[in-house]
Amino acid sequence: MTSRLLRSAGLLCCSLLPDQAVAAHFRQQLQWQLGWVPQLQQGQHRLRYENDIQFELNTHWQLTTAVRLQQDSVQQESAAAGWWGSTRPAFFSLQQFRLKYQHEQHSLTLGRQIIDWRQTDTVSVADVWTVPDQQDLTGTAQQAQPALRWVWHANVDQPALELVYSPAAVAPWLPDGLFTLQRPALSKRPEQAQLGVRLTQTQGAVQWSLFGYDGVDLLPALLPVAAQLDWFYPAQQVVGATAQSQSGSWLWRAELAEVHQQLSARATSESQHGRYWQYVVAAEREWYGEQSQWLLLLQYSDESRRQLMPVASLYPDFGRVFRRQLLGRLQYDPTGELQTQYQLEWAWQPAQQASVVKLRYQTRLNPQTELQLSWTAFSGSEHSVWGQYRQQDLWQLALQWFF
Amino acid sequence: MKKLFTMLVLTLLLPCRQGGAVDVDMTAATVINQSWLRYRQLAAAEQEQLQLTVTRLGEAGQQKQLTRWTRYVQSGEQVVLKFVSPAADAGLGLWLDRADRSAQQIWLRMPSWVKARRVNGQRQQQYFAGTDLTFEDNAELSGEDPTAYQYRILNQSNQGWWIEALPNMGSDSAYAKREIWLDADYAISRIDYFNREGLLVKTLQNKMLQKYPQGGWRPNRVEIDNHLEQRQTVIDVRERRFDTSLASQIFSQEFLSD
Repeated sequence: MTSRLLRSAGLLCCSLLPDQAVAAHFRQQLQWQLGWVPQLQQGQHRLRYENDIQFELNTHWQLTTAVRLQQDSVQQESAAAGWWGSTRPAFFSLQQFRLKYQHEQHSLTLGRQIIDWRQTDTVSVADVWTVPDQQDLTGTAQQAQPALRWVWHANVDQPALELVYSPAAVAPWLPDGLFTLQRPALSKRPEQAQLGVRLTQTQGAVQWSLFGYDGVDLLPALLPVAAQLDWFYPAQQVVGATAQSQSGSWLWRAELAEVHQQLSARATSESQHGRYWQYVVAAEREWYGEQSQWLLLLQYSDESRRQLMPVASLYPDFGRVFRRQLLGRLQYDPTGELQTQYQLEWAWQPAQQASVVKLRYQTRLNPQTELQLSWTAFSGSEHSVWGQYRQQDLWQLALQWFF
Repeated sequence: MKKLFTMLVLTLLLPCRQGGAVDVDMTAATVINQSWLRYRQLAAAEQEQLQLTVTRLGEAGQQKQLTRWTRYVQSGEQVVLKFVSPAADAGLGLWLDRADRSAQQIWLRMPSWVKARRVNGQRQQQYFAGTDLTFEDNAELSGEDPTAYQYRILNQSNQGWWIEALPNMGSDSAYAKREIWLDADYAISRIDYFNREGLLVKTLQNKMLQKYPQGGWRPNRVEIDNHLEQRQTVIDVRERRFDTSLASQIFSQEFLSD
């Protein structure tokens, strides 16, 4: 009913525009998740409704809205997540609201949108725009953020140029409540503007990109100011490159970036700096049966010359998930039609004896319904990122209805 | 001016026949070349609204709706498919980048994925989206690489040609052989696909063939009978627009992720 009202209102608004031929693409889904955390002997459930509408106003203009209603058995923040998001998933959230203009080689998008430069899996050094959900480290949820994005696509075999500006970053979802931390409430959201530029080029089987980002590190630091503790988000600059290529049966992906962070003298007695390199190398191969399909992904990530800012964050340094990490994924699709998948993913940091294992089974029960069963287990010392989550092993069953 | 020159060259090069007797001196490769030249001469790019009906033996048909964008470039083509319905498939997208056919790139976006992901370019023989079209078939609906096959005329008459296409050594085609029927206007009317055991896997029939005054052709209905899977896929073209000003950004990872 709500969605029909939204669509009708949208179509009515659009039809008021002169000479507009409106087409609407419409998608709703209802998801019910049932989870069990064995270490805490805690059950949890989540009911989520998502509504995505895309209005094609004409060949040049496109309006996209995506809203989410979500009810969790665990306590939620009562405030609605509006334009700037929330520090936790809220009951109502405006996932996306963006207006896009495209003409020949140019496109301009204004509004709350998801920008994603990642090419590798699970960890990515090109992941400068994604607002992380540290409550669900292995999940895929993404928060959109307000931005103006201009993309220039040249002709085939010529580069594409992308410029992104966001007046301020959206607050991340931090792991509050998952660890026993006593800390002042995080009332601040990042204030820094964000600016990014990316150049992408395809040459034969190789696709590469160069990117630069000047914005914010979404891991806040807790610092004493005038006899009180307060939160500060360090500024962050990232310069890097990505590449993907097929060589024989293997698909190769690689990312490399230099990260520079600093806290201004306003936050500390003197400005503090951090600087390091990170890289990810991945190889992926598929095998095909009569109808079935196997996929193997092997990935290694590490960092070097790590010079950290000498400030306390109270949150784990999530950048450490890059440190000497091996990641493997084995995926089996019995039909080869992507309707059913068995997946085993294992991330292992031998130096820290930390790992996360995820088993997942997903199948389409009928054209409207999907079932997913998963088990996620964390291990490691409390000094490792994965180890911090070792109380959060999770069995989960999820049913999704599409209509 | 460039367009005018191209048209002039094509007019001079292409045998200008509309339903006339076939040229008996033409080689099989020349016939296939002519067919795709005529197919591609209509525009540099096009957009089609398609309805797919997939029917398994003894079951009710399942309908899917999608948009297909195609851009033709000198050495190949780029194809983007985006599904609109059913709801579980909405957001499913495929980008076959064959601008350089020897280095094909396949980008896939599943509805549950947050973004499009490049997948193995050797995923040729896998069926896509529960239809009878493999990744390879989807690419070859808009053109094939004549240098990748050995062609032989099996028969010819005033009605057209019957041609055998065998993949060259080292080709990653899923088929050991195809038999292609073309009418006197070089339009492909039927293709039989055979596997390595020599079994007839499926038959594709181009129906409601639309012929254009300058010699181009398009099927408005494509029927694929999968004899091994006991399944049929029918593609109905509900709308087709030739548009050379298609935004370049359609053929990109970003557009697939939108």
